[in-house]
Amino acid sequence: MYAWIFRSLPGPLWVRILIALGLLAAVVLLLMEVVFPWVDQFNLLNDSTIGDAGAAGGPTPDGAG
Amino acid sequence: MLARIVSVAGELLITVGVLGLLFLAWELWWTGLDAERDRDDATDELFSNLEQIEPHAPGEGTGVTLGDSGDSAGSDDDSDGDSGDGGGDGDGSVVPEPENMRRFIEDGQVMAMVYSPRLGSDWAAPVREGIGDAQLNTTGLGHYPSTQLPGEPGNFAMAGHRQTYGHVLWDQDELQADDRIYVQSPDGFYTYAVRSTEIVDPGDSEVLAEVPGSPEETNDDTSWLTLTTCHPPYTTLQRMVTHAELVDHRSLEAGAPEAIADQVDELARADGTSPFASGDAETDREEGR
Repeated sequence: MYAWIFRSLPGPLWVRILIALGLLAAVVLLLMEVVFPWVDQFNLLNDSTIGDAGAAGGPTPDGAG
Repeated sequence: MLARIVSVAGELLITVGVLGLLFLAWELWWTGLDAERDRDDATDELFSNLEQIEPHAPGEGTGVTLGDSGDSAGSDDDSDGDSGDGGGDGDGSVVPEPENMRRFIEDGQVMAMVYSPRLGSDWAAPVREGIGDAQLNTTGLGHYPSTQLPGEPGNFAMAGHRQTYGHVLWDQDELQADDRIYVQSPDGFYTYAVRSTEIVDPGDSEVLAEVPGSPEETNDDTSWLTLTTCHPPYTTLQRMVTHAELVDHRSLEAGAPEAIADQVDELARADGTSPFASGDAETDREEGR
C-alpha cells in the first residue's frame, strides 16, 4: 500500500522522497492539531478533578459556576 | 493475491500502532507546549494586575486562626480537626478578607500563583477560577468554585493535571508533611503547611469540604488548601489529594516569604516591571471596578 503510494509519486527519486516526507509531516500535523484534540474530549488521561463536575468530562460551566 | 492482502493488512496494523504512539506523544508532550505558553501568559497577566492593587485597609479579617507552623513537630497523621494553637511565624496581622481576589475572579482574571519549593525552585502555577478544560488545559491550576478562597475559613481547593497539558502536578506525591506551599494573591502571601496526602476515588467529594474529610462540620477558624490530581500516573482511576493548613499570611507590601522571594522577583521582572520594587504610583491608574 505504502509502496504503491510511493511508486505513484511523480518525479525522480529524490523528489519522491521529499514529497513523501512532506505528506508525512502534513498527516502528523493534521493528527496533532485537529484529530487528537477532538479525540481528547473523551478525557482519556485528563480528568484530575473530584466530584461530578469533572468526572462527567463534558462541557463544564466556565468560571463563575 | 493472498500475499497482497496480507501485506496491506500488515501495513494497516503497523499504521494503527504508529497512530497509537503518536496519540500518546500528543497527550503527554504536545499538549504541554501550548499549555506552558499559556501558563507564561497567565503569569504575566497576574503580575501586571498585581501592580494595580492598593494596600488593604486594616479590617476585621476573616477570623481565621493560623495553624501551628510546626517546625519542631514530628509526623502529623491526624490532620482532621486540628486547628492548631495559633501562633504562626508571620507578621502577626489578621488574615484579610480576600476581596481583591473576588474582584479578579469577577473580571475573569488569573486569581493567584501557587509556589512549592519542594516541587522545584522554578515551580509556579497560576490559578484560575473553575475546573473545566478551559481553565485546566491552559494554565496550571483551577480553583473548585464550590470551595472557599485563601484566608477564608474553609478549604481553598484546586485541581491540576498529572500527565497532560504541562502536567503541573506530576510530582504531587513528593510533597511531605510540613512542606510549605505558598499562595500569592492580590490579597497577600499565604503560607500553608502540608498536613496529609491521601488517595481517594474520583467521587469522594468530602475532601473538598470546609473541614476536609468532614462534610457535616462547619469551619469558622481554619483555612485549608487542597490539591487534587490524577492517580496513579497515566491513569484517571483515582485521585491524589493533598491537604495543607494556613500557618502564615503577609501583605503584598511586606514582600514574598524568604523561600520564594527570588522566584517571585524573577517572575515579576520577566513581566517587565516589579510590583514590589518600585514604590511610585502610576498616575493614570484605573480604579478598581
